[in-house]
Amino acid sequence: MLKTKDLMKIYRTEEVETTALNGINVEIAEGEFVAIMGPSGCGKSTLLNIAGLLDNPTSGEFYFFGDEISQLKERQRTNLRKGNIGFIFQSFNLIDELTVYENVELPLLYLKMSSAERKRRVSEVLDRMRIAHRRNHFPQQLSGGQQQRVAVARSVVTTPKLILADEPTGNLDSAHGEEVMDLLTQLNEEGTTIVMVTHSPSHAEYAHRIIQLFDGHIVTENIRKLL
Amino acid sequence: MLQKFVIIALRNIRRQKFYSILNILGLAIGVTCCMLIVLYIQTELSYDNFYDNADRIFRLNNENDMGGKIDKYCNAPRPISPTMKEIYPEILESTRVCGVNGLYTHRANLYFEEKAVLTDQIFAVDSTFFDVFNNEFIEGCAEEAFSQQNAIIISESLAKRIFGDEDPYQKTISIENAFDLVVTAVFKDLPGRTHFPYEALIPWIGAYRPGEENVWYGWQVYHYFLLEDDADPADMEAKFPEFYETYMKETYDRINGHSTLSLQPLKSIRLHSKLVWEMYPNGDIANLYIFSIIAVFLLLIACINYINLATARSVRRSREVGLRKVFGSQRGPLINQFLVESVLMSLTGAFLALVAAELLLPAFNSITSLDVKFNLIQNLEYLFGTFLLGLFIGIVAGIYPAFFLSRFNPVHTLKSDSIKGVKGALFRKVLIIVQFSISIAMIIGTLLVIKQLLYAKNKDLGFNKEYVMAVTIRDQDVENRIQTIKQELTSYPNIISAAISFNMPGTTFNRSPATVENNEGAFEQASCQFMQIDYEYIETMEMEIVEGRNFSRDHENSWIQSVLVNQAAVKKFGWDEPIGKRVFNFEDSLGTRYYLDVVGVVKDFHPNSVRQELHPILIYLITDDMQYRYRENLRLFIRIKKENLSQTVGLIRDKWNEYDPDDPMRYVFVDEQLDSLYRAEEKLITLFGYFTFITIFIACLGLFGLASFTAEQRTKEIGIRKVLGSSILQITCLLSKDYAKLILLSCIIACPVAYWAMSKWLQNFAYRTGISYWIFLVSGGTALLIALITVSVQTIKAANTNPVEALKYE
Repeated sequence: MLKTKDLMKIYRTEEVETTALNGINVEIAEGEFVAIMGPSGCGKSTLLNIAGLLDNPTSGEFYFFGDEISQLKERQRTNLRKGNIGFIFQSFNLIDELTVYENVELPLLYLKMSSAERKRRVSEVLDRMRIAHRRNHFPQQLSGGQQQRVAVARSVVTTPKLILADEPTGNLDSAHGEEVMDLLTQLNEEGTTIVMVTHSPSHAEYAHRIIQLFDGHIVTENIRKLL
Repeated sequence: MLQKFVIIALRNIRRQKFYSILNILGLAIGVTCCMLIVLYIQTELSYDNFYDNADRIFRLNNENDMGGKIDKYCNAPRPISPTMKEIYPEILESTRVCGVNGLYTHRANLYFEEKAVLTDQIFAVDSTFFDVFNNEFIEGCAEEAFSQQNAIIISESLAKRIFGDEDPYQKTISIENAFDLVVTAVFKDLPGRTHFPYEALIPWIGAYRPGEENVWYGWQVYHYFLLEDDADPADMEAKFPEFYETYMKETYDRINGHSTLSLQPLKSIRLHSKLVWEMYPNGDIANLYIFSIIAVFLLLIACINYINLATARSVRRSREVGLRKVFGSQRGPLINQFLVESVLMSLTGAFLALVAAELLLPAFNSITSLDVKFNLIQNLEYLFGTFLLGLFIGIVAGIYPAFFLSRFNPVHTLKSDSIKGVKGALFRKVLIIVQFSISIAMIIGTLLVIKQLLYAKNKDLGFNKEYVMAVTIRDQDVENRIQTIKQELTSYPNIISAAISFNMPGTTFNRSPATVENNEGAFEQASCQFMQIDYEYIETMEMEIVEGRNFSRDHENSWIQSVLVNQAAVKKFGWDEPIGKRVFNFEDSLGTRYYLDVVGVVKDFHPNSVRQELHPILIYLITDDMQYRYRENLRLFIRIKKENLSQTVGLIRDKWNEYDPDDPMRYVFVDEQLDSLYRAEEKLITLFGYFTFITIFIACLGLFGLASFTAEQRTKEIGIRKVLGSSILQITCLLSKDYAKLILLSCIIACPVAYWAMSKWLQNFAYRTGISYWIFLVSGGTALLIALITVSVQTIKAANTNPVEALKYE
């Protein structure tokens, strides 16, 4: 599903050049659950951004469903991303001005879908995440766990093939953290590929495979479970 | 999607109350002013539009060149239009118009039974008048109206004023108790504004003797033409030189002059005509330009507020932008979303402005002495216009923030600490400089306009305008007894002196060529103004004789002996020795030529606005036994003591009632009459002042918002500085310093621009005040002070915050 070859990402400011990713070669198959670990600044989020088509690599090749797409324009990346990739963030990143329902509906708005169909899908996913009763609330009115459930709901409402989760449990207490991990596992069992960045070794245990990054390099790939 | 945009926009507006109010308020005030200005401009542009043939009606203008001295008249010698009508097929109809009480006085009393009604809109016209200026008749018809010499045609409302509910048709009224006139027709009141409002017309043949009809120079009246559909006025004008050669040249050659005739479109008269002898004061296209520019400035400043606040606060919206992009939004829908937000705000502002404009209109009318009307129900186009304006402003103000915000990179925005409000800071600074450059330039303009007005009002006029009453003499009997009346009045202790004259300071003086002796003893033509005064006038007006003597009963017993001149005349004629020089007076039927001797030179005086240059003036004598045909302009000037002013005026009024029991005394004070010349400028100042204030106010609203945002943003810095021992004053200075720099930069931009613009404006005045450096200092200082006060309110608040509170945010 995803494949990189000698992937490099260099950030340049006027005086400083920082190599965030340095020759990354990785392949992630459909249906996998992969955790990326490593210390702060090792390039985890950069890799996730490139994987999520939010950013282009500086050099190297990047294959998404077999197509080399490392130098696509923003507009093309956006079109490819729509409906195919779901995102979950550490800080939830819900829009304060939108209700729970509207936040979850957001990705569907950009997918030419009838409003009846949108309504059906959002309701379904809200039920599934057990937050349907909060559909008309605003994010600030919810607990952290509820907010992350909304964020998960938002990421799966388009039934994407790939979910990218950037420390999804980082801002949650352990009970809520477990809850989110269970949800992700469930989604993975239903066939969704999941790539998750995490600091938590115990949450990384949920993944089939753990990729350790250090200073922009892959240091170990630990295959835990084989399908 | 639009519905969703609107919902989100409304939520944002509500959530950010403070900034939303600042924005909407600024926009509403800007749009209100803009609307009032548009209404004013619309009113000015509506003049003379209501005539069916407005586009084909032209007035004849006449430029007289008297030996290099050029006067531009809006009237011309009498035989011109009837002659042109006969020889030019392009002319469908023509009509002449002139005052009835003296050529240029369109004011008269109309008497019906015991009642006197004063009209300021009575004219003598040719019987073809209504063929040129179409109007509807309520009684009678155009043919019948002019069927008899002693006819008078009046408007519906004048008929009401004279006759009340009685039928006016065929009733007899008297003009100045001198001639009886029969009402032969009543026409509808004019439906719109015109440079030439009329409410009473009398037939030309009833007003003027045939002998005066064939004079090709002087005795000028207004001529209006209705041209054929396909006639080109330029083609017609091209024929005028030939016309001049054929008909007018002989007369003009005799007086060493030349005339150039031209056509002026009816609709352009109100705003583009300031010629000698305009019927009524016209408007000025320059004011329209000035106020249009102000309107644009006000909107611009309000838009800048929006742009600045929206971009400064973009950090608040960046996450939303990032997320929407992550979930598949392209830039287009994001731009639309932000535009919807700005349009919603500007529409709110615009509709608030609509209400405000309606409420403020009476005040606006009283400041401008205009009669601007505004009726929402009747004029739905205003509603539509407001909508369009709101839409336009919303797009102008929102387009940059929309592009700015939608450009955010999702990777950066989703890391909460990676975007600071510093983006676009340079652009915001530039916009603040634009706002304050405009504001400062407007302060400079206002101050200079005030300075010029004070200069004009306080300039040494060459006579003392204070405490002089000018009483109009209207009764033959009063005129006959005027010497006795003068003596009686001056016997009262509070009345210093009294004199009569035909010339009212502050009104247009007659001007025509005079034949004067030069240093070599030959005679030359020169354009002069004329005055007629009696023996006591120089003393009464406290004018000064700088050479020779005043008129005196010991020397002059007839008006055909002597003349006084002003210093400008001495200079113009190049006289080395003015006393004893001769001025040609007239030639009698036997061919004897009579001359007037110059006996005195009067110190230069300004009989009119100091806008006008001094002209040579010949001053003729009114002897005690002279009789006049046109009394309307004859006035008794009474200098009174400033003590017990109202009692003295009351005394004069009582005496006047004895002299002329039929008419109440009509008088003005000379200083008021002169001050009225500056009324247009005063209005301009008042309006300009208001708009300047509003401009600064809106600019400060924006500054206030930005300052509070900066303070909010620098909370942590303020906290750290305070922990390290900085005082509140130091912090306030730190935060205000940046703004002070911007204002100073604005000064540097505004001053030369304002200097240039105001020098141009001052060139309208023959006598003008200087552009002093203090005006720039005061203007810049004022702007700086206002801006710093505005900023300080926020910065002091921020500086006073407990540092623990400030640092907790991290």
